[in-house]
Amino acid sequence: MAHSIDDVHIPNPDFDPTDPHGTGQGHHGHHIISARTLMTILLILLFFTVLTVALSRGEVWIQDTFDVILPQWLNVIIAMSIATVKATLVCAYFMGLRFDKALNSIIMLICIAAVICFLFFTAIDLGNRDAISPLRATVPTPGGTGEGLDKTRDGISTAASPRPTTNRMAISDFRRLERINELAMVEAAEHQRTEPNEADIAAGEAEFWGHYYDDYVKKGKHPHRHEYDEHNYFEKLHYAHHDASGIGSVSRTSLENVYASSPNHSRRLVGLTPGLFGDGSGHSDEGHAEDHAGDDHAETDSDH
Amino acid sequence: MATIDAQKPDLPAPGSKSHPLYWKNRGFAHHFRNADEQFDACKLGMWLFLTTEVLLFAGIFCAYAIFRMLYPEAWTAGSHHLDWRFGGLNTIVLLFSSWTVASGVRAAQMGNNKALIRNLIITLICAALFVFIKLKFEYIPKLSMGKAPGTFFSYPYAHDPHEPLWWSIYYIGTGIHALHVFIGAGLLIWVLVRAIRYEAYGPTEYTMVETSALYWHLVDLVWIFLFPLLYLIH
Repeated sequence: MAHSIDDVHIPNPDFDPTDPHGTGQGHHGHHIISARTLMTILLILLFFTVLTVALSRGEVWIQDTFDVILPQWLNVIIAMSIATVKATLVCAYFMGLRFDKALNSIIMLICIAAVICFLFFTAIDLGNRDAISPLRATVPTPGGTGEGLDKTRDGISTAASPRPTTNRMAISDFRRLERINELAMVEAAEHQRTEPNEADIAAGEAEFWGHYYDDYVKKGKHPHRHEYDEHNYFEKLHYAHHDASGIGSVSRTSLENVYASSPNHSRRLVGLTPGLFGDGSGHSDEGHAEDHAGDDHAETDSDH
Repeated sequence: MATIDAQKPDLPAPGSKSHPLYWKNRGFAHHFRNADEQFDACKLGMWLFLTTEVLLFAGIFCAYAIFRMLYPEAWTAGSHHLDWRFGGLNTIVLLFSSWTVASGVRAAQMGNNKALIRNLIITLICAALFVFIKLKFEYIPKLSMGKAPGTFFSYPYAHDPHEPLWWSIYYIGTGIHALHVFIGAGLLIWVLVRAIRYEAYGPTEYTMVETSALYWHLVDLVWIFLFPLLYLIH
């Protein structure tokens, strides 16, 4: 083996084998945050948590008591500002960014700037699609069909999912009709019928909407008529928006009267979803299956 | 090669002052100039990783913002299904655990191993409490009522056709956050075991405590935003 220059050992009196680069070993002393500071920060964070909850509940209370609707942005701005202050405190003190090398803070700030760009450009895109052409406007459409999971694009069932297809209905509407049908079946069984008749379906609907509006009353809120309550059980069951006698004393008529006055008219097929941004292709009537009442009257944008 | 393995010296018992994992016996990797540089490099790496975590949650927050803009009624209806009391309680639990873990880092810096162990155990109890509240009072009752994400939605009394979408965002947001709670708790358990068995952390060797604590603070940070977005904005 040939000798290289590295093999020549020149003793250096200053050389320290544990510190070959001569930069000094050991900690220069990291900042240790005092226990008092940590406790103070915790108390401030808890205070802000209570504050944000109190402000949010306060807004609800003002809306309910004075019957006003506060602008949505007020709620969002207050909650997000307090969250930002809390997050800054956690980063600065608990995570020690304030006493740390500036590089760590810079990295986090760049990341936050990226997140802001991400949210901002998405928002201006969605919010301004109609600025150039009204046709490009983001149209919120009733949505959420479960069809995509068990059907291919051509409409052929792949039988991949044990869940039922919703026949181009929104899942929430499908589940509502399913529940009404279930209640109608119970009603039919009580009268020894195998198939529910008109009265059974009306009974099922009254039962359903009664439960629906009762839910509001139970939560101490004013019930509001649901837009899909097309036979207006809201009125028939004697719920009122602002009953002078108070929420607790909302009285319901007996179900018998409700069935008697139930109109025998068509049920609207709701929840046609052409997809998130509404290309209109889902608005054709052809794909609509009859619902269980068999009295379809599709109410869509295209045929009115 | 087998002879090299055979020549491996027997390690001293865990917990003894001569064990290589005892904090005073730890060195630093040869490519660093000193232990400080190694510590700073580790911490920088952790912060870089945390930015990717922030971006992961930013995707969820962006989806939340988009669907909130498109379907404000569904979001109002959805947030009314959540009880701010459980969300608020969980916020307090996480803030408290963030404080204990920060105190744990302080204890390691001061060389107080007992205080480190105590703080880590309290933090882990908080993590378990958080998951318990989430499951017992939120996930299980809601799922049993059919308030499930997407096509699994079977709650018949929905106020708006887009409520399944709200539940998708809710379960994805809180679910990925809960996953982070589990991962963070796992890291803290690892730190705790090393602190108990080897007394591995002290004033000159607490990198692992620091980086695991940073991860735990991130879990808290994400919840600080998730809580008002899901429970308070109506």
